[in-house]
Amino acid sequence: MKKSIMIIALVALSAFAFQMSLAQAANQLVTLEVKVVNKINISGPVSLMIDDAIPGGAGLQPVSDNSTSYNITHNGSAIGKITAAVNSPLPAGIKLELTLASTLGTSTGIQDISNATTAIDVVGGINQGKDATQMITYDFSATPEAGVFASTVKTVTLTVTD
Amino acid sequence: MRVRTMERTKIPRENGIFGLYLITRIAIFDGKVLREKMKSFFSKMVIYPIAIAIFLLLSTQAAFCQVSRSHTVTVIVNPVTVMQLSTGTVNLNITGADAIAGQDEMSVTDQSTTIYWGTNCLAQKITIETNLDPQQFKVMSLAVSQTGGTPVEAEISTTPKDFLRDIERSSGNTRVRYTGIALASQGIGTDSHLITFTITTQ
Repeated sequence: MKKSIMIIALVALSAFAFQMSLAQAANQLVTLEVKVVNKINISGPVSLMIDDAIPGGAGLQPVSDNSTSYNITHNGSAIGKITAAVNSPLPAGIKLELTLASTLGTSTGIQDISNATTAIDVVGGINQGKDATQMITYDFSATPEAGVFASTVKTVTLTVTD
Repeated sequence: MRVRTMERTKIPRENGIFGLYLITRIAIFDGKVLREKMKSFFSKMVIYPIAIAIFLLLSTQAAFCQVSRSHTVTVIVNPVTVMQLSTGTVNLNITGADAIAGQDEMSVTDQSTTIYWGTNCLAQKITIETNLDPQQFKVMSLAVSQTGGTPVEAEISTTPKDFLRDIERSSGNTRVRYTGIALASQGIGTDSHLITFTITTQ
């Protein structure tokens, strides 16, 4: 009787051990958090030079450049925007305008950034996602009264925010 | 041949004689008696040593040829498979540090976890699964720097996916590379997974 019980117990124990050995598991808590991401980059630089006049005495011939572009990645609110600012104002009669194309948001059109030491909106309503290789257009104009404006480097800063 | 022998004899008191006397009696035996005595004596002198020798011999034999007894010893090595993780928590944060402007997909990786295993079974594998359903973001897993087995890259889901296959009888370890993937267009958020690794027969 005792022998039988012992055998049954051993068989049960072996079966249990076998079951235990069949699958061993271990757990781990993995948390993936996606925080607000606003990334932008700009190609460049850009050179703009006025060296011609409008025929008929209508002033100086403005110049334009659309050789550069920007990319953004934005996952914040659906009302993101891009602002533009210049590091220092241009003198009177010298105008620098900026237009940003956008598919993810809405361009605000041509914006005069000649004195935009405080950032102004150039694109609004940016949705979550990415916008790649969007055109940047600069328009540069000057009045004859402004005279000659020596080569000056200006830093234009584009910022994407929520 | 005659021999004198001396015997000491007790004289009982009731015989009226004083106390205890020692009387020396000289007895003379004839040759026949002597021979019998000698024979008896030498017989004893021979038989006893022989008997003792036989006894000792038998005892020695008994000592060298003891009766053997045996019993069975059963040893069992059951299938043993164990697994352990080096850490219980992993945090994957997509902060934009590694994001590339103009790309929708953003990712982050972590390789801080090591899995240790030991098995005496053939053809084992480690699977990975999560309890989170649905998931907002994608998490990929891959075994790297493994000491054995064949890695299988998998997207973690509630269905167990192979993580490391072809594990033979061994003790080994592998790093776990988690890659959290989010699209910017998905916005922000947090996914908390309870990841379960299971080592089992493949």
